[in-house]
Amino acid sequence: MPALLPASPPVVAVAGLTKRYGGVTVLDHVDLSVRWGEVRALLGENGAGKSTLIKILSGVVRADDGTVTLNDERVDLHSAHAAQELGIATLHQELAIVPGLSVAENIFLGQRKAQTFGVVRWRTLRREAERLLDSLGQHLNVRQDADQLSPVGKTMTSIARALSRDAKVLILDEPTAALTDQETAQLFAVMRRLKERGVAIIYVSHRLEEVVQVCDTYTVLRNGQKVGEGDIGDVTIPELITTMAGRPVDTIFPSRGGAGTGVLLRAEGLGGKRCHNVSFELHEGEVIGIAGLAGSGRSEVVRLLAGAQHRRTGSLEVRDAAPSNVAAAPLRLTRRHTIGRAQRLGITLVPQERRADGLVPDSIERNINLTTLGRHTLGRVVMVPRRARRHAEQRHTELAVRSRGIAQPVLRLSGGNQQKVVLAKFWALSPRILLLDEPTRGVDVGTKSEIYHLVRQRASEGTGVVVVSSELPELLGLCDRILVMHEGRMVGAFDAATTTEDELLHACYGRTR
Amino acid sequence: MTDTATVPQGQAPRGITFDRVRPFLGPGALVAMVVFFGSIYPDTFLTKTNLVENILQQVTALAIVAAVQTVVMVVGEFDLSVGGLAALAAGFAATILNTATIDGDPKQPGSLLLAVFLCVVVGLVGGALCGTLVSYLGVLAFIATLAMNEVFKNFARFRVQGKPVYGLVQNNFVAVAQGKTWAVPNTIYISAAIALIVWFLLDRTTLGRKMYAVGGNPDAARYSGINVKFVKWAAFAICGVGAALGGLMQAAYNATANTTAPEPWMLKSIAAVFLGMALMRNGRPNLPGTILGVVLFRTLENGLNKTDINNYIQDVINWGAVIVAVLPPAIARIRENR
Repeated sequence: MPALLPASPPVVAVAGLTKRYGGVTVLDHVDLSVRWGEVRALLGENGAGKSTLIKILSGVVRADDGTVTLNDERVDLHSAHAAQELGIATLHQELAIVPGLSVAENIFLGQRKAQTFGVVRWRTLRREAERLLDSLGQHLNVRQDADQLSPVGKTMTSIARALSRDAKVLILDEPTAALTDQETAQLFAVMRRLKERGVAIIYVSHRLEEVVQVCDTYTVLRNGQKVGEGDIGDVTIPELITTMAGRPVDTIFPSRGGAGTGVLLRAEGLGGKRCHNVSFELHEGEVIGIAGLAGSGRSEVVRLLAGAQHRRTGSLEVRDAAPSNVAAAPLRLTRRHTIGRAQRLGITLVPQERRADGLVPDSIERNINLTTLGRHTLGRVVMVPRRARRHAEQRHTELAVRSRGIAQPVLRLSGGNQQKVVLAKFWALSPRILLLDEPTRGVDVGTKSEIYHLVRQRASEGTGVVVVSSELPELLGLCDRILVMHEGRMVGAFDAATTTEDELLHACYGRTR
Repeated sequence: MTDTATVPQGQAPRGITFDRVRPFLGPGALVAMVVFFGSIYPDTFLTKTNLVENILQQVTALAIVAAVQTVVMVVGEFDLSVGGLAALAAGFAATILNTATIDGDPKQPGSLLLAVFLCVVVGLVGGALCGTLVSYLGVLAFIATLAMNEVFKNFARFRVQGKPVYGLVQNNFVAVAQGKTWAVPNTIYISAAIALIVWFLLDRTTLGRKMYAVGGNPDAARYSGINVKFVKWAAFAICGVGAALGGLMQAAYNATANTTAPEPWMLKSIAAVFLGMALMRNGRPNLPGTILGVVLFRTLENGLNKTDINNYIQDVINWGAVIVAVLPPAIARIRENR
């Protein structure tokens, strides 16, 4: 860790920042400052106030009280534009890349660079873009459509955009969520270059292993208040977790239950667009993990099982979904197998993107009941609102969703609670085969642990579970067996109890030892 | 995380917010208009004939079409073909009933039941066609239904040889539409019944819930096991039937099937749904809002008609009022994200 000049003045400092929504105080007199070349981790569970703080700094939300100073000068962040002009750049989880525009155009988006009377001098623009990327040690084709870039390429483009605006403060919001480990290392290398230039970085991540690796200092928020700060070298990860949760988290992962012997599902030679010849068996009460790099076909495997994508080759056999019929003859699934049909057979997929694929912009109640509408009816057609409400209440309690009640709009919940609503919706189907694609992405440690326990509980009731995840520690802690995908093929199967993260990582890169 | 269980998530509105006053805006505006025009023109505006016959009766057909347009807009699409389809369905029914022109033999008018049945079938087929184009074949609703509107309308003109079909008086066709029950025109009952059916469909059936889910987020609906394509298709089919019934009712009331009469419905029905979205239920299309929108628009139109204001300027005011109505929720939505 580079030594910081203790006397160096903060580049950005907020003092007494307060924000209320209606009656709820989401930020309560928070102070935070970042010095020249410092990387400060902003930590906290979902709903702690991190997002609000970032939104205020990027000019998207106005604070009710408190001040923001940049280089000792008080500033008014009245709009996103103003924040950018002042040199505060924010990279959100979903990067603001405009599809159809080249990398160079994306870098200089909204700026009047390299123009003569409104006519763009393309060569100059491209040269400037290349220069910026070079300074980050990145070599991208700046003529390429930015949407075609890998996730890390998009991140680099966004960082280059920030630099082109001469950013003094860079806010990174979960920048590694979509990155592989190798890409993450690439990002960290770039962050070190930025530090040398004196950029003050605020780093938000749920991945504490990374935080410890890349940050100098930390600030922890809980329920809108600052509950801890200091040098990262002075704390351990468990200490950070305890501060974030406000209590010790002893057991993040539940203990493994014994997998049964009955086969629930048998896939043989399964193939789709991006995965080929995948074979495995899923047993009762078993939790299988699928690891792999982004684009390795790991998600496609579960999407094929769930009918979300069409199978091209191979066969799929399922034991009858009804618990009493487990021993009955297997059912071979036809190739034209849809999500609805899969659900009726007891196969349920919890999709990866909760905002895009999991939730409708309506109340919690309507979201939870979406998969089971026919149950709360007279004659399967006429809704009985009272029954629907009662069912939603039950699931809401079962999954411990924290909200003001089931009538609350689901999009106003924090990420972790939104994810629980999505789970509740699919839990209601009581699946025999449960497929989870990145079930804890962007979710805080406490909620992650709750989700792991819920998954294990289902497994202990005999459900077979397949978890796809980019986080290897998660797979190691939660699963019984881990399958590894590499470039569309299954390259290994490991016993989670005996394998190591290192071994899995090697397999993910297609190397065997 | 038991210690955070008491911390509420999200916003708890306090004091007067737009969401709180929203449900009262529409009815409030209606009352205000009636009071305003009533006090200026107590003798012409504030009469039973004007309020019931000129305002409510006049929008019964549009109300049916706007009700079914709501269904299509709930699934996130819109249907520009309602006018053309109404003309086509009414044209088909009229030529069967007809006594004086074209194919109909004056001495042997066709059966009323057959005419109504044919009208519904035409509406269903036409709506299903639009639905197939949009939902199963992936054509954008704008161009698919715009083109189908012209197809339906001109096919209707061909069917009636470009002329209105007059004198549809037999078999009580007109008598039902022009008649009254307990001093209220029958058409109002018919419209109210259809509106009630649509409300029931949207708010009280599983199909209705699926429709709202599909309109809210089609991907999330798909992952929840909903057959998104079918739900969209069904919305268009229902819309087709409703448009046909609206056309038929208007033809019956006027005793004439005229291919140009349903033309304004395309835009007015969509405007009514938008008014309803602005006035009720947080910006989602909804049946009560739509009906309120239809009545509000007509009341303003009728009231202005009593004034000396230039006719064109009257329409400027009418449509300007639509903009004014949809502005506050639009601005509130922008503010909410601040």
